[in-house]
Amino acid sequence: MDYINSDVGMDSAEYKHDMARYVWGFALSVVLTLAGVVIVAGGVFSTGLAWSIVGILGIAQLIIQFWAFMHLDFSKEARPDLYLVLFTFLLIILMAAGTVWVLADLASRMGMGAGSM
Amino acid sequence: MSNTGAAHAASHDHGHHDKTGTVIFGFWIFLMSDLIAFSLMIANYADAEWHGIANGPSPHELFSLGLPTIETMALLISTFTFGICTLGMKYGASMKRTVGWLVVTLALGAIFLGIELYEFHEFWTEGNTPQVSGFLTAYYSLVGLHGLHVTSGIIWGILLMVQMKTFGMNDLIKSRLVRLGLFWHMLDIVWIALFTKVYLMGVL
Amino acid sequence: MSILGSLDWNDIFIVPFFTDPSLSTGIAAGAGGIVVLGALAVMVLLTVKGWWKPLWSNWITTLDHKKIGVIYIVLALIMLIRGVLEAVVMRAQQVSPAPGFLSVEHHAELFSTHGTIMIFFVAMPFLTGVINVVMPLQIGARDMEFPFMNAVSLWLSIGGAALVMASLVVGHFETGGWTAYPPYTGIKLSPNEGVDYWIWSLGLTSVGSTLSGINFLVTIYKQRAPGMKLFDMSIFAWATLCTAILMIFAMMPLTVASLMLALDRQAGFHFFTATQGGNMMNFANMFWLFGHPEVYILILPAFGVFSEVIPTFSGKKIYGYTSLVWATIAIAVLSFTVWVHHFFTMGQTAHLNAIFGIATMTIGVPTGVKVFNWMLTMWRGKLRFSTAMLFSTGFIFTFVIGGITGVMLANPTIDFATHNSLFLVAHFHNMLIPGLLFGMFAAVNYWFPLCFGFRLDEKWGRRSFWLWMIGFYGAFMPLYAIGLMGAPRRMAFFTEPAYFPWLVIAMLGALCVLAGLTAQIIQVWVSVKNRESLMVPAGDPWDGRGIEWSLGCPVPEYDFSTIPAMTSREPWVDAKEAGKRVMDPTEFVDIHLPKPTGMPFLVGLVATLFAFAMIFQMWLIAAVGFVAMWVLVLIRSYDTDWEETVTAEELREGYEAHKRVVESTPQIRLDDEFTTKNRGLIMETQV
Repeated sequence: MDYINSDVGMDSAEYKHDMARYVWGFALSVVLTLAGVVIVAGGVFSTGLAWSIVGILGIAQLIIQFWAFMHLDFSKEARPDLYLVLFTFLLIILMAAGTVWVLADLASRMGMGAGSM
Repeated sequence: MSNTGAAHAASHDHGHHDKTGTVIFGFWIFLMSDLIAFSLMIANYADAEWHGIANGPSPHELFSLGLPTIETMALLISTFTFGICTLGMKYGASMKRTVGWLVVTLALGAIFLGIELYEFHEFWTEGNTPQVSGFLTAYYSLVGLHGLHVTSGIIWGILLMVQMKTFGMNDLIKSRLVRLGLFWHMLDIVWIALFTKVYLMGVL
Repeated sequence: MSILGSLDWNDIFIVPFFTDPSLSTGIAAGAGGIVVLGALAVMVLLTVKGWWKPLWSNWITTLDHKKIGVIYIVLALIMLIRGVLEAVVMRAQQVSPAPGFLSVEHHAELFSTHGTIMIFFVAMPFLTGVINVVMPLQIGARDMEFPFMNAVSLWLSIGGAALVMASLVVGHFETGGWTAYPPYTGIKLSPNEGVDYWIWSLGLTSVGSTLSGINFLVTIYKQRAPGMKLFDMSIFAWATLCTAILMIFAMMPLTVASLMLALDRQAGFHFFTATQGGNMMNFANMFWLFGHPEVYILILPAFGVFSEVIPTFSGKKIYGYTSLVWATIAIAVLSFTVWVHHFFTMGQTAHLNAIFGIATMTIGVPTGVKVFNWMLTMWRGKLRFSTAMLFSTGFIFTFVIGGITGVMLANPTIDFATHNSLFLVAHFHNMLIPGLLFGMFAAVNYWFPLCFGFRLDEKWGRRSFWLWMIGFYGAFMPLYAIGLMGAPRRMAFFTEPAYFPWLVIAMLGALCVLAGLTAQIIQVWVSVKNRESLMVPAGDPWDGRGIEWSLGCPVPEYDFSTIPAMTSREPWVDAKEAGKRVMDPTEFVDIHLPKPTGMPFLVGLVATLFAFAMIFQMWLIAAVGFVAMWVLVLIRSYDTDWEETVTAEELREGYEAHKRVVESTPQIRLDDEFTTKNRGLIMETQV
């Protein structure tokens, strides 16, 4: 994809189209962020449910920002970047979730409850 | 990244290929490598928050949502303004406009950083230093690592503005600006994870 | 605190010998002395011969991927000499009457530097060097995608190695093994600068490796010759691609873990201190998140080398190309899923261990596929046992034994019995000596003419192979035995008499390996001396199959006068079968090559200064070094005139000259391959 040059100017339809993507991304991000804050501050849901909702909102926002700001989509130009990001997230899941799993498993065997050591 | 041979061959005119795209792709890979570092820090934080409180405060006792929300908004707006900046650049906006939006972005980054440092300072003066517990160590290093990235982004941006003055808006400078943009957007994406994990889930 | 931080007189290598004279401190002083005298001798030699200027302009400032590769390999060989010597000293220590002639501390320092050096400063630079030389030539590229960054990676690696060498002269290295687990390596139990040496030397080299990985991946992705699809690439290029991905993602956990350890040590943080809510198990966890993929970073390039050498010297194309590629990819991905098998005994539940045990055994499947591929490539081929081929076949035999013990260790219940024993030590040497060193030795013997224009001496090459092979079995088979008898690793001495005969055999084996290394040094010496008769100016001295052999030897700086047209997977073989001895040129166009620059060297120098200052807590110097490093990068970013042009006319002349050489070279038969009749371009109808 050509990130840096375009044949047309800022009054073109392409510009407006691209701009709309940023505006949408921004608007949705604001909404999702504030929704997370409201859910946590409001205390309406049980802790476990709120925890899950906040997590899902975070992941949704993450995807939206990759799409809106970093131009990640299924187009042919963005495909190498997309594959790269997907592979990275596979590894992140392996590494980060694996770490948490192993350490939690160890802690359970050593009688380390939350808040004690 | 499979079988792009044909498309590749078409774009490859004997050594004069699209250098800008290549450099940007290389930078993407660097960012992904960096993302691994953040994810490991988050995993470490998740463990420390659970088992590493020791004699220090718990996240619930330490955090409130007020300042972090403002902080988050500042960074979110900055990532949007950076988008306006690079999009305009691509469609031939004037240098003045491009620099203007960059200045706005960096200023918002500085506000973000200021709030973060203020918060660190508050915790620190209450005696909650990173040396107190595994949890606080993890907190300061995770959020601090992100803060260091923002700091280097700001410095990079300032140096880039100087280069814009020297070189004008040529393709090299444009490519550098786009890479800084990707860096900046990535930092906001990382911050979503941090804000959610550290603050939202911490306050719960 | 003084500007020199924690550095004091007792850190200078010779001082402990005078304050506490013993054989142990004497050996330490001697080793430091060798480093200092060696450095001085090199400087004197350079001065006397007037080589400073050519060294600077031809090598230090070069951005040419082939020369950078050669420097990497030279670095690896220098460090290999140190690593092997350390091994011999340790073996000698264990056969001398207890408690031996080394202090326990000194022995611990030896096995720590031995491991660190062999992995990070022998294996990594070796494979990075071979990839640098070969991969661009095999994909029809003129250089790495980012030549400047390539040179920065090189000098960061050299900086890391220089720090490990410096630890012989100034202060100590750590004593916690190459894995450096806390809490032992925490500030309480390891208060001196040893662990900091480990942290910062690895810090430099792992950043260098990450950048190399990015470089390799982008080069393969963007710089392939027109028409070359991914599934047209050589197996070596595929191995490089997978290695690059591992480098990009697997170095980071090491960098993170070691910097956390640095913060624990210097800033009183609690990542790994159990008393304050830290979790030292996470160090082991992160270390092996790096460490296991690292094993495949080390092994995959060697697999790639064997996949090039075996077809060439069997006179057949590789058997099962597609299955080999998918096996490589499978190994690369699976390597991220097995890290827990390095700490089965850390205390996880049995089901967790079982899952990782099964995942580990799974890796044996694609590896087995590869072994069959190599064997079936040789099946009914016309085998010629050159040095490179000997190392390749020696690898297959030996590696399978290591693989079998690996599958044994993958079973957690067996691992509980053998963990931390010499059985494990025997296993991983059994993987890495054939699976890395033999591959790299084969690569050097095979591709050497591309860089220097002449072949390596075969006689000494074969001698070195047999010495290495016999030495390996002698040195490590006994360790399997006493490992099963219960001998733990990393012991300064044993008092169990039953181990003694085995340790003597191991000692003899180590000496045999040392003799093999010596034979290799002699091989290089003899080859350089006889280079006139070993010249292969027409290129392709082995009836090779990759497009790198379509070039004359040595390969010109611009690699290809015209980028070859990729009409099939093996266009050079096609051309030869069509009776051609030079590939048809495509179109001559002006090309750009990066200009030499001293900047990467300076970046590496300043980064090393920064790291050294961090080790001895010279905060001011460290800050200056850190800033200077980035100032250099900034200065470079102002340099827009960094390319020079090679005109189409020069390229055409280069091509014509090569063609003339080829035409004047008499055709010889394959049987004369290893004689002085071989001036390049031997051919035989392909099977």
